[in-house]
Amino acid sequence: MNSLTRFWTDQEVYIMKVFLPIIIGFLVLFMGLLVIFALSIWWRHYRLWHLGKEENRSDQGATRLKTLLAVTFGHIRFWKELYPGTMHFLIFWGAILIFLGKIVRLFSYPVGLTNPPQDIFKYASFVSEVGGLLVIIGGCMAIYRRYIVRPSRLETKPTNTLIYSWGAVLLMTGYFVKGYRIAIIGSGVVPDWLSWAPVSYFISRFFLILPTEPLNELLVWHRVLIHALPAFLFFAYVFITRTPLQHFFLSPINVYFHNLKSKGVLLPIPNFEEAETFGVKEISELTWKQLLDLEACTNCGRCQDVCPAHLSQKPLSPRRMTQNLKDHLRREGPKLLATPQDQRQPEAIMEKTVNEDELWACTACMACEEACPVYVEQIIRNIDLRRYLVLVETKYSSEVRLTLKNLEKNNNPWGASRGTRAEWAKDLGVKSFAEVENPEFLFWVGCCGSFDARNQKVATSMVKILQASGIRFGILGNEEGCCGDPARRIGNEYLFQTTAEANIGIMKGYGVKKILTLCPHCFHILKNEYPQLGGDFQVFHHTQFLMELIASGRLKLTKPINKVITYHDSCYLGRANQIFEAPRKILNSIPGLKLVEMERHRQRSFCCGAGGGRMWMEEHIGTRINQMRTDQAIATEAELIGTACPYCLTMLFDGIKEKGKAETMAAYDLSELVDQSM
Amino acid sequence: MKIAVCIKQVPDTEAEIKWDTPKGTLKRDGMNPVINAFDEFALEEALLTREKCDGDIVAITMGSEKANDVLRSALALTVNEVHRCTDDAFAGSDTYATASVLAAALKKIGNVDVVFCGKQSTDGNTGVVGAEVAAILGWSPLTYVSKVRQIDAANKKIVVERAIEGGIEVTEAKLPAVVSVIKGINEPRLPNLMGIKKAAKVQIPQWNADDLGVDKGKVGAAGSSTRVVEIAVAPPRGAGEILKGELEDVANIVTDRLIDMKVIK
Repeated sequence: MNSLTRFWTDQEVYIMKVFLPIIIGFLVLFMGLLVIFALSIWWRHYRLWHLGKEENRSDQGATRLKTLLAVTFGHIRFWKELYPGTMHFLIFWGAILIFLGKIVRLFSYPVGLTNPPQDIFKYASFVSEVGGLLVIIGGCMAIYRRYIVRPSRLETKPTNTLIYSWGAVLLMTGYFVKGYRIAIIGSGVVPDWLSWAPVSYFISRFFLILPTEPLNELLVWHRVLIHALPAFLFFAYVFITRTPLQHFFLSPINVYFHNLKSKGVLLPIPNFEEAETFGVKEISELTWKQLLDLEACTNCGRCQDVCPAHLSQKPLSPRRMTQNLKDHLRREGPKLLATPQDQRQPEAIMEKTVNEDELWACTACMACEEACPVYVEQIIRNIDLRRYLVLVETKYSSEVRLTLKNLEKNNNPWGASRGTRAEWAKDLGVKSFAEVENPEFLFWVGCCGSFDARNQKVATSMVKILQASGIRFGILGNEEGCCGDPARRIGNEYLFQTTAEANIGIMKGYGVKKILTLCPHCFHILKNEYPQLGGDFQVFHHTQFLMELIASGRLKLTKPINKVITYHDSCYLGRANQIFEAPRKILNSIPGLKLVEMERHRQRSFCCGAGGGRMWMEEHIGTRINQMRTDQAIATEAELIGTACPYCLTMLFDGIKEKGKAETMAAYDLSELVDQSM
Repeated sequence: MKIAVCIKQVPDTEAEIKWDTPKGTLKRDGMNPVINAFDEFALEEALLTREKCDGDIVAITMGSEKANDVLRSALALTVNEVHRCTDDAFAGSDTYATASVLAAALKKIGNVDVVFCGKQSTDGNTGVVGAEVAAILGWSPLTYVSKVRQIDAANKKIVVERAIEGGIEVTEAKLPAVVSVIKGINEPRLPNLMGIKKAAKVQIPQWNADDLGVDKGKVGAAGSSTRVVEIAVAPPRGAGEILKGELEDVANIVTDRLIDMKVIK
């Protein structure tokens, strides 16, 4: 028998005589572990989630599956950050390869693929070894990042350190075992070692210095104590405790059930008439999906790193709020499950788990949802918590109280007399919608365009453009009411509903079909949320409209504006409705204008700070968000900031003044620039 | 403890004001009716008092059917009982006539310990009804109240702070009292949604002149002892004149002008 055949025969003898019982024992116990795991999913997770309310997320299975596969295997979204993305990709795929290889080799013994070794056996072995290397590289990247770089968003608990240490031990001992097995044969250099054991062969050479008998013993004991047992215990740890590694099954489930609708779309309260309570007070009033979100969060902190409230030192961290709610669920959930429904006395979320400053700091900018690799949803949950405070406890600041009162009395958050809503247009020859023959659009001006001095100029520019292009349009004038965005985002769903239903009634009464909006908040709500109340209209934002006008040649831009401009992507135009190109095309059509981008642009744009009803609240804590964004614009050295939203315009206009740059910088709405150029 | 609140529905001051000059009254239709802003402070004070001392709150108003809205707002804030005083005979009442109707209502409610009302209404702005109600009933009149320090129904005592020119006056008085409150005494809460929904379903009870035992001859436009004879919109103020120069000279010019205008002698 040549040395190669002897090598494989001897390997097989050792496997069969020495290790088979251990392997069988491991497998049997592992099956038991899997059963316990399955039960624990039901007992510890499924039951908790179903404390929550119903929600249908089972539609469009094919789309959901595609996203799940893309996220799990392609790691989409992880790659938004190169280092962590690569690191996780290596660890994940390395682990998959290790297991694939192991399973193939395990089942090749009984079917005689091992002696002489079939190609599949060798490939499997090679794949495992490469997998192990990938995990080591990824793991080292992770350890370096977590323990040496220490980014602020990463919370390191003992369980993290335990997992890294344990993983390192398992990887090392895995290679060592193979090394011993190869060494013990003592048959010299196996010619094709590179094709199936690149790493362990290398290691085996070091063990050759030990004499045969001790090496034998080492092999036996090592296999049992130092590799098989720790491996088994590691699986037990992952399946039975609440280690963050449990994200391996919790996060994919969450990805499957993710939100297929546009971001930032809030949901109505289903039944105002019969409802006994509104919003969310305690944990079981969230939906099962919102509870799943809490458990799927991997504590990675990407949301925290993009949250404008957090970055401006407000007490809000989306990561921490989610983790605190998760702890609350795990604490209160079992208590609730153990009590009959009519005797339950759940702890209110706002009592200890979330505080009011955190909750009101949110600008509903959706950056957290955009950044999350496992699709955790936060906006709807935050507004649900606000709804309880506003509708049931009437607990909010005096600024919010004033805004809600203004909206109720005067149908605009400014508190200006509703009779003066159309004053801005009185000398512009603008007709009311009813008077226009065969109108193409209703021009929905919005509360800012109607009442705010700076934004009235934008509305005026828009009117000039519409008139110059011969568009037949009208406005609702004093019959236009607030679109309802401030009310809805503050959490007063009742006020939103009554306002919106009134608006819908008026528009339907006039036979409105197409609406042109000035403001992305009006745009978002009229387009995506009014249908919930029966208002189905075709809604356009003025940037889409202007782009069409320019592209079709109906509007010619001839006067140059020789300046450098940076464009600020509004949250409700960009992240919520994916409108990124239209404004840029408009800017590129203006002769002389040079566009530079801020670092955080398009999907990663940084909120101006006015969303979530915060336009109507002062910032009392930390840095001002609008000043942070203005700083980002100043960093581009642009002379102009282009905006497409009245809130953003106000915030950046103020920011420029507050930063003392009013001499060298100016903020304009895109329609004003088009007006100047035509 | 029984707490009463008098509230009035008035046109929204933000709305455009239209006068019926010959009649000397406001053209009220088409004007957004709201609860008198000062009465919101009164309502809130009543709610705060009830939280401290336990008891019931009764809100009353004198007004037409639309005035039911202000009573509903009060119910939405968890006021216990409401009544609307209404009768054709009441139309056009002056302040004293109104006060006599409200006083009759308060007598009918009975056992009232304290009445809260706003210091004035934003339409008439006369600011006397509260004091008149107290005078008619012989109860302690406490006006311009900026804070209620203490209220003791058992010992029939109330201590308040009144905002007077140049300072604060602390007054102790016997209950029952009519307390008219100023802006800023508290921060009026907004009703919660459950409150609004429940209030929407309530049937608001009415009292007419007979129910109240009010002499129809002494109320209404005919029965009022005062009458608006003329209303006029103030002419727009002309531009002022700016005097420049040395302080002595300017002072002399100013005093000369004031003497010419017969403002000083």
